[in-house]
Amino acid sequence: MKNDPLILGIDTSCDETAAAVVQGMRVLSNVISSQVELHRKYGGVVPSVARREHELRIDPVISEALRNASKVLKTRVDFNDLDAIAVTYGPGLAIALEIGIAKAKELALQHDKPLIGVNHMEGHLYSPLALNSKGKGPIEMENVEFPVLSFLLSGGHTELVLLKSHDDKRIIGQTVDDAIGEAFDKVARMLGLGYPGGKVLSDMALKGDPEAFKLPVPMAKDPTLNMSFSGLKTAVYYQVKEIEKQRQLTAQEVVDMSASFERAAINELQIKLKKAIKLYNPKMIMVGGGVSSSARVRAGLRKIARDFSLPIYFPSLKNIYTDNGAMIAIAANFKFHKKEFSDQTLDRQPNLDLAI
Amino acid sequence: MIRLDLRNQKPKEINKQAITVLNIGGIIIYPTETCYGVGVRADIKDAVTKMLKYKRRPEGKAVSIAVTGKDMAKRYVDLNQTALDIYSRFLPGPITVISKSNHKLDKRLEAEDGTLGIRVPKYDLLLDLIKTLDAPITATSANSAGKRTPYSIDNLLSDLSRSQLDSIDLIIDAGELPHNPPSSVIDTTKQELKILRRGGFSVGNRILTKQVDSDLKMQQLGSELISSYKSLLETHPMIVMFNADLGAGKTQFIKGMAQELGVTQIVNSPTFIIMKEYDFALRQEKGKLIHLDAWRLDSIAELKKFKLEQYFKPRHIIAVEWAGMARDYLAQISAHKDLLRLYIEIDYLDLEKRKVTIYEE
Repeated sequence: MKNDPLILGIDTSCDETAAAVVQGMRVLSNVISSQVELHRKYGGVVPSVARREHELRIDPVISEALRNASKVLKTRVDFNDLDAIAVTYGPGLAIALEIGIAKAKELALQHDKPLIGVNHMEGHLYSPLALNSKGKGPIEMENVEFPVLSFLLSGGHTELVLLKSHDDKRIIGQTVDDAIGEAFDKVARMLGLGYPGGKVLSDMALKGDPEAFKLPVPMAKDPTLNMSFSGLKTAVYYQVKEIEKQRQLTAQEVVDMSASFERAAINELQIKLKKAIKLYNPKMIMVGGGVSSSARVRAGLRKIARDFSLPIYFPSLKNIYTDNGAMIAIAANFKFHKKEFSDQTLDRQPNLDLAI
Repeated sequence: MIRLDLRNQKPKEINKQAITVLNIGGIIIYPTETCYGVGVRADIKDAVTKMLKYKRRPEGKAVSIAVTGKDMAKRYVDLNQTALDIYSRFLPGPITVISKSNHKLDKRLEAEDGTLGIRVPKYDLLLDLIKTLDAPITATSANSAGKRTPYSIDNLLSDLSRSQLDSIDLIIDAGELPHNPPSSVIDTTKQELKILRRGGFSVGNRILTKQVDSDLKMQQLGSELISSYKSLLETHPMIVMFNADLGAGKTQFIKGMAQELGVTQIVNSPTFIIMKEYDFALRQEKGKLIHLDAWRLDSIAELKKFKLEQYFKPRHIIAVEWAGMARDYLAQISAHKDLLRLYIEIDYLDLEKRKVTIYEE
């Protein structure tokens, strides 16, 4: 473990400014800007930092990541101690990506460290392999058996990915409209649960009756592995509007609709996962992305895995579900060992796909 | 430290003592419908300082306050319609409602963006206490950051340090609480002002009104639009702004546009990532479809950073969902350009049927 490379990972692919330090697959620190208050640290210099103001956030976030890693290793971790600097170069929002890339290049040049460009989706994909600061996790790297079926579920992604090896990954199914997390957030808004309210919707669903409203399970009969959530969203919208023509939704109707929607959305995931397993006979399933933190989603996917007697792994650390730097640094490990380094020409690729 | 037991002491007597402690800036540990909380009067600065020290919170995490209901909440936050609906539907109950603070209380209780979390606990003892006190108390779990959720006083006390124990003035023990999860947080402050539709576009000339009754027909309409502008696109950029409600079919329409342009990738929602770019070729010349969703943008200032002017070139199409907020800005930056500007409204007629109106300026 001591010989594993020490890597700083930076992600500014969309909303979060994130930085982390890992040693091999072991996460030493994982800092996300929305969880650190910056203007107090600055002593009031930055009155109110808007979301996605990565320029203002990136330096304090990186410093915090190094500081937290130092605490774990009980020795000061400085830029000079790093073996590489990794950064997300796509997919993502161009004007956000370029801030992280510029910073990573600057640090690599200044401290003469190798630079590693990482695909954001590979980060999510490898997030179940992240080990905690003591080196424990759901599964060790050596025990990964191919082919692996990976399911990426987040606010921006809904993809089924087949890994024949670490070098052979391809998307075999994806959403044709909304990402699953986005659909949760938007339906939450229709139900008056604020925005983004996907998490609240799941909490509400626990108290609701999933049979109370009839909603379609989208793409159930579609022969591909693609998914769709827009029609389901529209069905909820329409039923809500119909009720609201007469009166406001009752609390019970809100929790029942939450439960009915959640059930239909999870059913769709189950149907497509099942189909993918039958088609590709994977040896294991890995799930990543913010939506995989939902207990119901986990239970739904676990059930399918169990039906096929397949092991299924979810991310297990705090902050590793949503966009973060640790997953980027972990994915960079593979490239580090193969010496796949980037140079100062590394550029953002907002449309980056998974198969390279 | 005083320890009172709810199981063999009168609630009235307990509250009387708790109020005395709170009024002199003391710290109490109290039961709720979720877990044990730590409370001080939120309107006494020194008491808040004491509580923050007790919590050992990393700087800057907001602390919610507990009130008796909507009317008391209004003293400290602005309640918008979303918030009012939640109060009437779900409170009292295990939900923290985030609203804009009016900064009457200690700023350290607020989040970075000037919001404040409000709880109306479904726990009669507590509601009585706050009512008599006529002041909000802090509503945060009694454990320090990273320690287990406190469902029993004994567990809590064994997790605390000497100095934390010393700072507690009074404990209300209700025994082992049911292990209910922490309160759900509802943020009512995002997407409130800017998203609202600003009436119809009613600009330019209406060039088409059509009813469509399926996703496929919506895509076809998008394709037809591109097909009728194809020769003009060879020499002009185009902006297409959409004004339509959630789930009306904007992305379907843009899918159709992309198809006709020869985009081979799957065109899906850009909501999370805000902007997606697709390449295509028109008579062997390269073009770009920019698919932007303004839904999650915070301000026009943020939109400016996208430098959309860079796409004002022939064979470049910018399709903007939730254009309400962006419309004036986009019209302004493209005003003197030789550019095609279209506005599209989609209205719900029923579950399947939509009315699509296209305006050209």
